[in-house]
Amino acid sequence: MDFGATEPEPIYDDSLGLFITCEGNFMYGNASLSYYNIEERKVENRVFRRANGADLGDVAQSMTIHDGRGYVVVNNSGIVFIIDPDTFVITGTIEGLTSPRYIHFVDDGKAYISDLYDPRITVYDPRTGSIVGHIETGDHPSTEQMVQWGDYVFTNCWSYDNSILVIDTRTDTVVDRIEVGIQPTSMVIDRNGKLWTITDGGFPTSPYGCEAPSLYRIDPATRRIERRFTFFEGDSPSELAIDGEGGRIYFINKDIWAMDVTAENLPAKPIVQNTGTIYYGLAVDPLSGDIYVADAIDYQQPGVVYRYSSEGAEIDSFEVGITPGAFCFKRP
Amino acid sequence: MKTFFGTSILLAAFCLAACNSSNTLIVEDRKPVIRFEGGTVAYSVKAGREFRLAPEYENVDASTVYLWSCNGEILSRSATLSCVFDRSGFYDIRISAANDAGTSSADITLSVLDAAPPVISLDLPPEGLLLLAGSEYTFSPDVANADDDTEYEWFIGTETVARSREYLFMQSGTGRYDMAFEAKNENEDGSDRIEFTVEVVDGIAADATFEASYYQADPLRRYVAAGRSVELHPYIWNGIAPTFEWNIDGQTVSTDPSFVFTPQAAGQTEISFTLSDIAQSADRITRHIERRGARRGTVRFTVVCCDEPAMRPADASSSPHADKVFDYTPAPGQFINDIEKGGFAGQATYEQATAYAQARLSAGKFVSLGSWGGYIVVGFDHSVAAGTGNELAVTGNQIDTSSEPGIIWVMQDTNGNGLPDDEWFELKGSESGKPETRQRHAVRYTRPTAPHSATHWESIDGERGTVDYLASFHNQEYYYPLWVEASAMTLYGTRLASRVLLDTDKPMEYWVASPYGWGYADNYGCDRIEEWTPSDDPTLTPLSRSRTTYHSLSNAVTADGSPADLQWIDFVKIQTAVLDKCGHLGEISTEIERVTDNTMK
Repeated sequence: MDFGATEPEPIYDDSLGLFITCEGNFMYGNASLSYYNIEERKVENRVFRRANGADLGDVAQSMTIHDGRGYVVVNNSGIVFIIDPDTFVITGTIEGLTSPRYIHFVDDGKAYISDLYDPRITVYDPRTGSIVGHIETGDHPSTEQMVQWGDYVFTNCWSYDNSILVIDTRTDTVVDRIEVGIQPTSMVIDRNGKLWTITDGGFPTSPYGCEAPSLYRIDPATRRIERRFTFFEGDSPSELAIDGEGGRIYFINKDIWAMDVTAENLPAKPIVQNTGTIYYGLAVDPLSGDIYVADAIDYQQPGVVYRYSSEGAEIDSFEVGITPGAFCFKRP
Repeated sequence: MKTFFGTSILLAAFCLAACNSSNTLIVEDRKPVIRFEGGTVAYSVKAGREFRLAPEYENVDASTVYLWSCNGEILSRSATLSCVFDRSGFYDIRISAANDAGTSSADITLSVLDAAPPVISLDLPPEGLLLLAGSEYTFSPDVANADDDTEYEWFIGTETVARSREYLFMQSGTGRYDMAFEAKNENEDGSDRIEFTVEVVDGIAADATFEASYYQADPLRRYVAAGRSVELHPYIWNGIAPTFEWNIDGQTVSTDPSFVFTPQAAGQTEISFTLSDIAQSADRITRHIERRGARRGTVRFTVVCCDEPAMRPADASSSPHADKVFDYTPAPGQFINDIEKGGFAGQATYEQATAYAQARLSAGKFVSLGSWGGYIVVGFDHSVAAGTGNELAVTGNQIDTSSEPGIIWVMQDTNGNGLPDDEWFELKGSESGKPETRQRHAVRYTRPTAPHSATHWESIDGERGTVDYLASFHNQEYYYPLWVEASAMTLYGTRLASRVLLDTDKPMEYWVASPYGWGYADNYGCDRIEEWTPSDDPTLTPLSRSRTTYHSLSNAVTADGSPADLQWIDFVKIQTAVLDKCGHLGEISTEIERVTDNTMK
């Protein structure tokens, strides 16, 4: 265990790789960043702290790479760190955020940062490195993931909400709302331009209600729900992910499931079975189709990431930080 | 006319080629589409019952060929499946539908369950069920092999009073009630029935329970150092007109509910306690005066007066942490028995439970004490000397919006046997002496008869409530500790008023368990700043995310609240101090990570 400042270490990796954001424990300030070299199958942990001599902060929620820069969203520190994806050194920060969750780049000149409590999405200009405005979300303070379809960005309102908001990127305003089931947690867009989202259904004593969780296929042009697939009450599906071609979606529902985007029904059997642990994150390598599953084990000890082929055959596993939750692929 | 007729024939010809009998257009190159309602592909049915499945199809007509198969066997050739499975198990079933464009198929899994009769279990006290007139009680029997079609019926005598599994019982009239409960599965599956009698009374005669200093101690054997007093306090439950008698050597020395005894010399003294009450009766009082019997019970305390105990000073090999666990008895709570989030692994004996708690504390991981009264007893490998102030540091998992305070008790090893079977002294805190703070409180928790259920509790003040089961977050079968064999556990201690509130400023439901001033474990109090003293202005406490609070042994008090003036201590007990719950966050439950001798820095 080390306390206090440490000397930065000159680590460097410009390979084909995968970042894993590890949340740490809420309020403990022990979030960390791991980096996995995909070809050599080697992981380096705590790369942020080692490269910068400073802690990542409290609850690292997600990471996005855009235009040669890595953006690490640290939710409970209220900050986004901008790092060099090869040296992991801080090159900038975005501060003054309340409870940021994800960052989405509309183009090279504009990014949106969603937030759990602030009823506004922050608009950021990466060229000037400054916050240039906000998108008011009003009665829907919780904004989470974002996907883009044409000139529109769709964002799911997860906490105590059942909405997907539609934002016009030409005016940076919310122009519409799609009502889905209780608490949509994640979203993807497939190769046919269909928007998918999964809801967790709420929980039994929630004042907001409780229902069977569902998977929705939505047409973003008409903003109508095309098909609703229902799970059972007590299920907790989460972490919707999609492969590089946009032809197959994946999700966690205790086990790991895969489904063709043209499927009429839910899959009958999982591709990876849960052995009594907590699957907390899921991502698919857009190039190889390999599936990565984050195992939080008990939210207390360092987690593990499993790597599978697209058919569920185990390829590798490695230990990372506490509560690994999200992934970010780096292409050289 | 001629043209019109010609056009009509053309239209008809076109229609014949492309329409089926129900006028749905078939696109020639589209295979059938098979859709289940909600996309659901997992189904269940009872053995011997008909299973029906009617998918929605597209691109099908009278010539479409359907095939339902299971493990190579053909189940059906119709669009809808209707079949019966006699043996339980999991079956993979495939439906394929073929038209001129090709064949589509879809897979489902069918779980066939044994059709077994229901089995009712309802725990009843061996002495018979005594309930108070005018009070509400929930009967919640466990019914094995029940499903959505099971029918339930409750009877009082021959009259049906409810048709649900749970029954809310309330009678204002005293007397005997013949109760029956039936559970029926369809037809051949059978039924079950239980019958029992309830006596509804105006009052229930008093009962006494006694607190042991830890689970292996004899509650009736007390050790007190020469020059000190000991309070003998039976906990009295219910009561119609109870009377008390304390007796030493044949002489009555007190008729109060508690007795404070100061030994005059070293040695043992036997003190007996007799509780008497009118026997409760279900018989209605008529104008003929009825003599009702009396109930009486006597227990014998032994008070052992010991010489001044010996202190064990710390030396180079001493550990600053109190990592030895002597007793881990949590109250029911969401982390208890939880494998995923509480780190349990099915511990079902006291030895395993204390080993679990010890391993957690040694690794700096939290141990949950469950709901009110749940506790842990830890010991140091040396005596912690008093005098410097802030001698104890206790680490919990508190944050500014979540304080789950624990009362801290300390003990000297008076009889020198290395076990925490001596007297506990409470460390007073900011809430001591306030009217809303209850001392000598007790709560009895009853083990649920069915898994995945709420735990009912009853307090010595007659309050009732539940520790809720939060299926989505902690889905271990029971929140009641697996290593407590008795079907009910009674816990003791001090109870603070709850400070749980709903933060209505937040956009969504946001529960806050507000902090208390100072003096409690797992509390975001002023004493998380080591330099703070009670004379400081609590509103000026700087922001600190510290989860460690500091406690002075000079705050140790005797049963009547006067300073205990302890020179050192050997054992620490921490108990959850609040009985409340925060909506979806569940019950208030103190969590402890470490207890440390702060004088050894």
